[in-house]
Amino acid sequence: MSDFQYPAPERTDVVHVEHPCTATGVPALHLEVSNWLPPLSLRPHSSAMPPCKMHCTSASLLRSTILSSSIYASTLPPAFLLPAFAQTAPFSSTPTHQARKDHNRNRGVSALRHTGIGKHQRLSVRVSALPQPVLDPARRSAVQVDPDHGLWGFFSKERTLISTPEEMNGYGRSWTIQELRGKDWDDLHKLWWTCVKEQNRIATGELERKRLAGEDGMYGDYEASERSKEVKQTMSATRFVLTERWYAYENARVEGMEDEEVDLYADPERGERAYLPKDETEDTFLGSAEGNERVDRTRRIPPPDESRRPSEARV
Amino acid sequence: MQPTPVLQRAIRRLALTTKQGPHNYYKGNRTGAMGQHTKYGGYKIDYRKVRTYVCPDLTGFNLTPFVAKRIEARRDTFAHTESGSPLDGKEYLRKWKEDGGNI
Repeated sequence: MSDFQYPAPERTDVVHVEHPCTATGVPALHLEVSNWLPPLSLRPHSSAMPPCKMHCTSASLLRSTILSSSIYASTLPPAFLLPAFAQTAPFSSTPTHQARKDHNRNRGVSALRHTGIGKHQRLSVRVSALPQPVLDPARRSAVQVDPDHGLWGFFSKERTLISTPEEMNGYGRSWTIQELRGKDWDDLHKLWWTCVKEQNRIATGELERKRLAGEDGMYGDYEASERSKEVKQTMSATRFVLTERWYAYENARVEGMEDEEVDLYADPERGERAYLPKDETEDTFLGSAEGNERVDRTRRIPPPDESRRPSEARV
Repeated sequence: MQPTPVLQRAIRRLALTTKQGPHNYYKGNRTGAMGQHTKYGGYKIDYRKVRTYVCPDLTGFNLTPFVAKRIEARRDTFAHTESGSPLDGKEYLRKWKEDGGNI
């Protein structure tokens, strides 16, 4: 026996292990295992344990159970953890400084983090060579503008940025349908586009007022809307006259079907005459020259409609 | 779905949406078609449908969208025509003949 004195076991359990080898005739093992075991280091080499006979597999299972208990883990780690104890450097997921040396001069330079330029970084322009803004308006060079540029059409005749409410208010009334009935297609076409340009000018003024003073920040919206209403009425009257003219033409075409003097199938481009007056057709023996003269004479006579109407005022 | 009685009156003053209209209600975006969809998912532009704006040369054109207020607006009368309307076809034809025809 050794010098160590073991305290008496508190409890002794008798474990009956039923092993498959029992069936083969081997007698069942009767293990006598104490619950308390001394640490390995304190355990004497001699057979302090009560002698017992164990099956080979059972012995290995038991040994692993004993060794993995927490009491022994604190003193001696298991064998597979030994390489971890041999490691000298602390474990970290951050790469070391050496690993980031990729010769990238922009490394670490960030506009978001306000890092500024790097120590060895050079910009294409030196700060001292940056151009200086001209703060004095008198010393600034004049901007070259084409005086006949089409975009001037978006501004008033005076070429000011915006018109004052007084200037905006300086308009008359819209064209009436009766006045526009006497205009030909070209005049109506040009008047329409004049209205479009006027609407562009009004819209430019509205945008400028909003840009300069925000919503409702500047006078002139009412004057602009009233002016725009008149322009719209002129455009509406133009459309009305053209529509009316088309329906009148359509009615005249239907009337011309029954009119013997009118040839609806004549092609004026080939010199054919659509209007064949009855008295002229009777005088065909006089020759075509006289017929042409007669047509010319009727052309020279101003139509009664034009003479009855007062001359249009061009404003 | 019926809106709550409080909203029923007010919702009529708002613009109709596709949720309110009939099943084939198409709101559109105030522009017409410029071509046709192809069966492969593309779009073929038809240049007969593409809008063309013909602005005449306005140099020397002195009319403005406005007329001076001192110019009195007059009324046209078409009592002399057969139908008494500005759309009278016979009156149009008569003027056309007076103007020599062949215009």
